[in-house]
Amino acid sequence: MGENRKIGLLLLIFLFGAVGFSNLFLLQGNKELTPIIIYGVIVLLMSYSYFIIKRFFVDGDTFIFMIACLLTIIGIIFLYRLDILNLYLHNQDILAKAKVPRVITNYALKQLIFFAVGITAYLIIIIVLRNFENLRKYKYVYLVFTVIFMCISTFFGSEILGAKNWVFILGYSFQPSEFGKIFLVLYLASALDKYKSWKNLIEPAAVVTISLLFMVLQRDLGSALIFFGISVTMLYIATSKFKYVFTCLILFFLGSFASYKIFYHIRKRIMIWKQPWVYASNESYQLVQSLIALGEGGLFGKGLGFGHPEFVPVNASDFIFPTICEDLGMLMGFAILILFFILFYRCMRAALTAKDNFSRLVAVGYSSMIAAQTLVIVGGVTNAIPLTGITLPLISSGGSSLIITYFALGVIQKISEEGKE
Amino acid sequence: MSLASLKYVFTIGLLAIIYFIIAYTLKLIYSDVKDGGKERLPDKPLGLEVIKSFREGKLKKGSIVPIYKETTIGRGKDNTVVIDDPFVSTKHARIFLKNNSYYLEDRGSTNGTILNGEQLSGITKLYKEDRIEIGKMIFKIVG
Repeated sequence: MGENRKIGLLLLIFLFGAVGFSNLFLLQGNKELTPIIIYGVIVLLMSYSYFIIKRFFVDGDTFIFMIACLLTIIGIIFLYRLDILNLYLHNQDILAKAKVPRVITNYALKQLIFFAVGITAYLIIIIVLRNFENLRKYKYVYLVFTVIFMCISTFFGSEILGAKNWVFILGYSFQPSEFGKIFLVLYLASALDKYKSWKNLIEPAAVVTISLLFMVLQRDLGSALIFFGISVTMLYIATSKFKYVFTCLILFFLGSFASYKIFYHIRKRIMIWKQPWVYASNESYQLVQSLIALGEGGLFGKGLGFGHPEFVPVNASDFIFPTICEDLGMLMGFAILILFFILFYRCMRAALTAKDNFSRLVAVGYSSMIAAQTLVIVGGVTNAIPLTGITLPLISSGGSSLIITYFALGVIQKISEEGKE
Repeated sequence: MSLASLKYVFTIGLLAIIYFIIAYTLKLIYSDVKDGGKERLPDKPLGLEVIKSFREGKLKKGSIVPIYKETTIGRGKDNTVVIDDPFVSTKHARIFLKNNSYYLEDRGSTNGTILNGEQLSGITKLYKEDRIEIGKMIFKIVG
């Protein structure tokens, strides 16, 4: 009986996709079948993975997979909507004989490919990993990878949109800090697993400090904030001593104050945060456009395809949340936050039932990673906290982010499956 | 009808579906919590049939012990199947359910567990008609 109800949930998600993609099909105004093909591929991928999970891994959580897929579908719907818009703008510019016409984008198809890769990674983890707790032995392997991924873009990185956190290899670009996060959590879990006294904390503290320093040097403040959030959460779960958390917070404020004094770009972020409207046409242009989009959408939005995301810069990755809210209103924004909350709850539930300390810490680390990322970017685009450009997990366009999120969720799924009865 | 007039239908539809999904998910999660999470019985429950008994006690020859989520075997009184045999360790072996299959695990016993005539090492999947020897006891897996 329970199984039929879960299939009902799957069908509801398909229905949501069907309504969204038929809207897009009508929106694009021609007979191209791309939205329908994208929808078909999503349905196939989801049904196949659902079948594998239900057939062979009954003990695992099914909600994690379904909610993650739903969020990705929302993301792909909006990315295709932006593709339609960019094609339209491109044609307009060609007609107006503009010197540099705005570019045609292919966000949705790329995202679909990354979704397929992510789901494959998710399934491979569930199928291949036999005994998760055995992974705790490789503490120093994680340590090395963490440091490599953290520092790599300081030396070989290219600067995009103010942060030097991209690396180009053979024509492909990726964000090493995203992969650094995965290894940082694994490292911290294996280091804090055998916690006895404060002496065990020196080495992890040094690693976290080095990672944070590299992030500040690369001006990737969003990632720095997330690393800090993950580390403090894991520290508290491992030691259950509030005094360590308190010490960390004091150190964090001291560090933030020092970097505020030293780095200009941090001072600029705070300045924008305090008075966004004063610098509306210069420094805080993107933030103000995001706030206007949020206000313009109101509670119910202007309708899918009727907003004006072309005024919001970086509308496909960092600023996808205001784009969604302008089209489908605050109600859709709230729905997305609630879905993230349910996802976080299911991940934490896997941590609660985990059979050993290492698994528990890894689950806590990955779930707080997703939660921190959501809070930092949604808080940023609504100007609740200083804006730092990171992706909204699962929704934003971005291969590195999508793949590592599915990787993390796959590990949590495995932990939920191994959990004690 | 033009898309401009259809957009309200689509917006309301999308919002209605997403909130329905949220409500439905919460309901499923709630019934999951109420049922105690993983309290799920397997599709085909198996049982342990006693083929050869060590001493005529509770475990007579031919009696069948059903296996649910987990069955522990040993000399200790807290085991599901208690075998009062000096060759059996306090915590000898364990049969547990994972992903709808049963697995047999030796819990570091002194004299070991024999599955189908071979010394058991690690965790092994169990099938019907498998023979498990623990001390002087012999069990058979029945469906």
